[in-house]
Amino acid sequence: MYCVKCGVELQKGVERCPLCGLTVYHPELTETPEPRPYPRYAEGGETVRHGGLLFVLTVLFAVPVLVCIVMDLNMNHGIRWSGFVAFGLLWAYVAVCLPLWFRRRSPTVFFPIIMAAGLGVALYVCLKTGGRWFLPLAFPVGGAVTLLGETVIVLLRHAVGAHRHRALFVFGGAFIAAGGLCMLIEFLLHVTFALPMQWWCLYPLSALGLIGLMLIVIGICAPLRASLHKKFFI
Amino acid sequence: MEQNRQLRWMRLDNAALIFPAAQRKHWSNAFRLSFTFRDPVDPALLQQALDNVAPRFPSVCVRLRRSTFWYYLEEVDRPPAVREDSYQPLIPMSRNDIRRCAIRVLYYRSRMAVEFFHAVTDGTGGMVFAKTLAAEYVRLRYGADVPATHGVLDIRESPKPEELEDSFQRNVGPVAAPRDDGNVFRYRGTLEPDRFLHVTLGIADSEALRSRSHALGVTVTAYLTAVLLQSLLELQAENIPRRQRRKNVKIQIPVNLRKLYDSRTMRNFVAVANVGVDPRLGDYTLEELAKLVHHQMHLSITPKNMQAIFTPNVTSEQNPVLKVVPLFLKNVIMRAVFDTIGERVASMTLSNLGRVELPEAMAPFVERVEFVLGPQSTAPYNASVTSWQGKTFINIVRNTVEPRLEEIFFTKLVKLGCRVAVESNDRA
Repeated sequence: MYCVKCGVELQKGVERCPLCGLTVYHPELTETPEPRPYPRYAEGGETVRHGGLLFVLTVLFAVPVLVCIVMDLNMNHGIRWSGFVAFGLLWAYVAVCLPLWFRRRSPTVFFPIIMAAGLGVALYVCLKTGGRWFLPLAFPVGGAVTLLGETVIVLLRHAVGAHRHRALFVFGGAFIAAGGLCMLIEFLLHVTFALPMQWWCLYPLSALGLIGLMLIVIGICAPLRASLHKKFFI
Repeated sequence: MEQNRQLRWMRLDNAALIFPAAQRKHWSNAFRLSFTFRDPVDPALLQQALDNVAPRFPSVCVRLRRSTFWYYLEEVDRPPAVREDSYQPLIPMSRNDIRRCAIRVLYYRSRMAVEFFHAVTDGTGGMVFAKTLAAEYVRLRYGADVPATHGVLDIRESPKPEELEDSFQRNVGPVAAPRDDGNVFRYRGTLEPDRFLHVTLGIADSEALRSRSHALGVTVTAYLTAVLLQSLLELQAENIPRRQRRKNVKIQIPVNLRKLYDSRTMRNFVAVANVGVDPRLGDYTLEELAKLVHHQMHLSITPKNMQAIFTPNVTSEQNPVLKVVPLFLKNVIMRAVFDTIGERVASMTLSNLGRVELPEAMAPFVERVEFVLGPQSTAPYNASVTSWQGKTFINIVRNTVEPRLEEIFFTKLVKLGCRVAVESNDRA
């Protein structure tokens, strides 16, 4: 039995050519089908496509933006308050919906994009309100948070693997680094707005540092981990 | 099996280092060798054959383990249980699977298959193991007295030290060849949502293939590579109509280094030759492609050139700074290297294990010998070839929906006058 389109010889009893998909139709042949080269495919669950839902979500985000802009133009003859709404919703859209458009939703790629969009909103607000806090405060803080988050994501994805307890080291380190970030924030607030250094950053630093150290100790100590796992597994 | 015996362990060979790091949830670098017998496989006898054969291959029946700085292979205390085959070959081996045993032995109707995680061995080493296992099975099943010839090892002998060596370390050279650039065409179809792996087997007459390739003055491997190159060029032309935007089409051909360096290792000892063409220069006839492939292979596959290809990998492994980097960091680095340059130098791989030879005593019981190479991590296609008793078995795997390359390739062979019978694990 041959495929009339490809010219290849086919197994007896196949319903269509595996190459071109052409249906095999030979009513005059009454051959017993040859055994399949592999066991029959075990059906999995149905796959869900998000295309329709995403379209609706996009429209839902677009409607308030357009309504606000039209109202603003109508009332104030320019874009004033509606810009904040538009940029805020745009950021929310980037954070919630944008990754859903892609088949591979790698957090390594999308986290920096979301953070960059957030910084864009901050820049808009800063420019619109005549503030001078974007470059000395928002940009370095946003950059540091992005760097910290990205490091955590990369380590979780590539260094943890099957050894899930390594995530404790990653999160432990992240907590301690977040404590350090609080120090940076207080320092930048002091520089930007000339606020006095009250060293409030020491409170979150000590709390986050302790939590971080605790996670690292749990990561190191297997019996403690096993005991905690027994108590808290979900 | 002897209780409490000291289990051997060994460092990964140089080619194997990348595979555990590159492994991911839905992909592991693996290949399968299968023997189809005259009668249905008896699982109990196959298990017994595996139990008898495993101690002879301490570098094959192994599991992957981790130390602080490197992975290593440890002999398993008992061979894995034989299992019934699945609806597709080469279901990705999880880390847990590999931690238990890095090979699988499967059966389905009259077919016995062995699937190897590539860190264990290469196609040639795997074929020695599979042949020895098949020979032992034939001995148990049919009472045939199969001699230890034609690549079948004597299971009563102890493993020889040269079978366990990392031959890359012994043959490292002074000069490293520059790596190929990554500007190659890599087909991206619609990925199967459930990662189903399609395998399409084309069975062609070996003599017909040989006569056509000899008419062009090339080997069967070069001929099949040329036909595959032409198919890939056609596939690219369909996807990228503007010629100026098309990328080089290259095929990776694994080269068994044992013959070049007089090695008898059972572990990985393989390097690759990249052959290909630039489609922007114009259309190529099959004759042109066959000649280009033939000359590129002859230029590339020399002891000195192959040595220069694997030398940079060995020198990287021997770098004292890299040696003391903890394994989890090494994994991050190696995976980044693999993702950036590892697979991007070729459109796909065509691996030809050539004509399989078996001892006369077992040949009547074997109907087919097949080789299936798993897909690449980021490109859907790979092809593998074996030939047995006048038939050439060409397996093309893909993890995408559209069977376009297979259609072009096998139809082309038919148009060239080679009769091809096609089988697949279609879901229908």
